[in-house]
Amino acid sequence: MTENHSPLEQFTIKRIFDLNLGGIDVSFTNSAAFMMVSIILIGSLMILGARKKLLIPNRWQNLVEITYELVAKTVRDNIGDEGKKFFPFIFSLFIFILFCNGLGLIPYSFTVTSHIIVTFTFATLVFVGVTVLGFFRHGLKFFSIFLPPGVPIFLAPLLIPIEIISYLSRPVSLSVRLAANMMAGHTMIKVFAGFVVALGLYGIAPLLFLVAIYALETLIAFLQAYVFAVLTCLYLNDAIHMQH
Amino acid sequence: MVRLKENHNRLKNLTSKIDGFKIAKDSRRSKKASKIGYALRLSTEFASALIVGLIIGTALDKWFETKPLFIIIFIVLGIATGLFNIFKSVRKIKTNHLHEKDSVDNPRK
Repeated sequence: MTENHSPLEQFTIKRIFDLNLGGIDVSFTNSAAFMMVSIILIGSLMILGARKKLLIPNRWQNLVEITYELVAKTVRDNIGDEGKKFFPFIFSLFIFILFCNGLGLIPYSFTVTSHIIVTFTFATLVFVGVTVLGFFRHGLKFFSIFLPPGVPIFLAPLLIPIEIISYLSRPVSLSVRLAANMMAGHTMIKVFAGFVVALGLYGIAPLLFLVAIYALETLIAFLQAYVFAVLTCLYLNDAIHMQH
Repeated sequence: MVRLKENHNRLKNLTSKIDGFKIAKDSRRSKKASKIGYALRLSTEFASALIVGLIIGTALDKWFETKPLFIIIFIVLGIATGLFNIFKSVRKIKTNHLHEKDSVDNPRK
């Protein structure tokens, strides 16, 4: 098997042109290119879709409104009225991840969210933001998140480390979940596509299966973006309302 | 005047009817999607706690040069945290599920 046909070849980062900024390598890669494509697509969809402001929306406006309402509902259900302030953040996060996942499903394209460094950056952003918000809102009382109320005091030495590890594991689980799902799905698609070629005429069986997997991947691309948004809401809610 | 009032009442009835349907439909749809979401969420809860425990243990061992004391302690704590995380999420799912079931049965509530 040549290097080109490896199922993992799709995840390599290629430089499009070199760029060096004060000794730091900031070359423009295919990853950056696909991030830019999704930003441009999101921007044009939102601006063009919401431009006419029709009373009876056309298809584009409807799409924009449905997306808006989905996120708005999620924020309202999970955080409450105080969540309105965080709506722009959650919306940007959700739509960016959704478009990156979606663009990755196009053959020959690159999936930005399959790289753990990208998702970990998002998750760290959320994690640091939530922690800062918690301390900003509750001051030092925010430390009481590590000791749930009503716990007997002799259990505290055991529960506090557990709660601290649990708190620190949030960004890890958030980022690993998204990246692993994307990577596993795309690898599986590529492997099955290899079977189609190798089996010749009998390749119709894996081909049919491939169609099913592809549909599942489309669902997962949406669901992972949604789960990311929901969990961000839940963490924000923990920091704002401080309850267990 | 009477007719106007009657029309107004009919409109009100219709609006509340539509709202009832909307709520019922919404909760049905979100229930299905969130079930798959829960399954995807649980898959990494356990592993991530273990990874964090491992990282903390390794870092502390390197710092105090006490290999393998802290790694063992924090792996055990990591496993405990993973189980605890899963337990917490399942408890949350259960309460949410009961709540949703309630709102589907009586959409007006």
